[in-house]
Amino acid sequence: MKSRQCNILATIFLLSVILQSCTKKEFLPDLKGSLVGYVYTFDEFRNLLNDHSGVIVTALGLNNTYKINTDKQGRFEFVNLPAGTYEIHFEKTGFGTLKQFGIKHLGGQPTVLGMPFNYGSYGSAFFLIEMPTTQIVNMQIVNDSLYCEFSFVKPKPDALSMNMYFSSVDNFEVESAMLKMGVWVIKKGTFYSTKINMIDFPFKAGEKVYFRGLTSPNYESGITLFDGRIITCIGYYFDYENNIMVYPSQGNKSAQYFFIFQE
Amino acid sequence: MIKGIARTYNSSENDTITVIATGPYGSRSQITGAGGSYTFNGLGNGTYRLDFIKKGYGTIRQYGIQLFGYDTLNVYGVSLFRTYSSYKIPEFKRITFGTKPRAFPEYMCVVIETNQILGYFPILFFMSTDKNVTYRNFQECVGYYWVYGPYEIVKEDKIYFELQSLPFASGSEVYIIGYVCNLDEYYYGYFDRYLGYEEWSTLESDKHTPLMSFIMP
Repeated sequence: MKSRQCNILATIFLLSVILQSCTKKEFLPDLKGSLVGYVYTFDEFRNLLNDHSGVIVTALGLNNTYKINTDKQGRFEFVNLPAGTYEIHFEKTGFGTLKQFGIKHLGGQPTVLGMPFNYGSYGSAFFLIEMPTTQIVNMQIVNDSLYCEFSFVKPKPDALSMNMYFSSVDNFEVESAMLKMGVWVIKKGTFYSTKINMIDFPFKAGEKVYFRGLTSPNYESGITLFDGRIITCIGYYFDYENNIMVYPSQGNKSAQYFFIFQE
Repeated sequence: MIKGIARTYNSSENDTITVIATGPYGSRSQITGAGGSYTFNGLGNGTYRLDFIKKGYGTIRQYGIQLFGYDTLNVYGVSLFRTYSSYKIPEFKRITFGTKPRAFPEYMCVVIETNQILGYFPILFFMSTDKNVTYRNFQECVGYYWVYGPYEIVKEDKIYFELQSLPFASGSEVYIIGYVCNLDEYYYGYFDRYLGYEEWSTLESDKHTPLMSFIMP
């Protein structure tokens, strides 16, 4: 009995020695490796710029933060980045800030963001767009056409994209709009205009409908590079803390205008 | 586990390709089996790179293969292209303008005269208004389209590039340089995702034509 108790105690003692000598690092090897990605920068009208350098890329990890700059081609590389899941920010003065969450970096050979390892002509990259300087100074809806006037700081584009918000409530906030649509307005002399399809509008004939607009670059379309590669856009993100989708480079919302809805 | 298929492009040989998987715990190597298939079992967590190597062919790399837990990742569609390391570049004599023989429509072309009758020749051309044009610094990359006769490939001592397809303004000086490269790969060349370059695995960086230039009409 005593001998059996001694054996049990000895086994327990031996096991505790073994477990104490193994650190957390040895169970989880300390992997490091490069994390590479690509950023493309655009002016506020979504024209691709020539030089993508100077974007500050920040990788926020569990215990540490790492920063690097992009080169002229928009490439960035964190060398010897420890394995982990990161939040990554992309910032440059005058551009909207892009954030990405849950970026897995396992360490070892380079992790390349946005480019699937099965190579082909497609990939994704982070798109950073200049903050808008264009202001909406006037809008009118006549019959089924929208007319806009803008104040430009940059040279006038031939067209620009906007988000339009509609409501039957006076002094509405865009977040509570009854209808939202994206439009492209085309330059026609001193105005910019487009047709608006009102078939599915939730308003009654004769009703006063209020609307606002804001300039918003196209976040859906990708680009085709000179070598034929198609790059899709990673340009917006879901803010988990505030529970909203963030489009980093949208303009200020305009004043409120109205029109009488016709059947 | 990483599994996939690798073959040589347009070949009827019994191809075997060496595949090397490099990750956080070192490298492992395999030879492709029937139909070009390969499988790496028992790899630890981490990010891997695959190198596809065969003598006489350009090496292709794939990056960023992340393995976690009991993942099985399929990597398909790798093609290797044969190299032309021993190809002797002809002498390039001068650049003129003209139309391609027996071509319709008769587009005006940049014409490069050489010192020999050419059949298929493995040279990939790079053009730029920057006189430091190379295969890394260029605005246009052109594979050669040789002239066809009614029932045969017509052999010429000249190379033709249609002006209408070149993205240069009239009056600009355009610099051009050619590198030995398998032109099949021109259509299937790949973007090296880690380095950030367009890559042609068969391009011989130290085997190139002299730098030439012309004024865009």
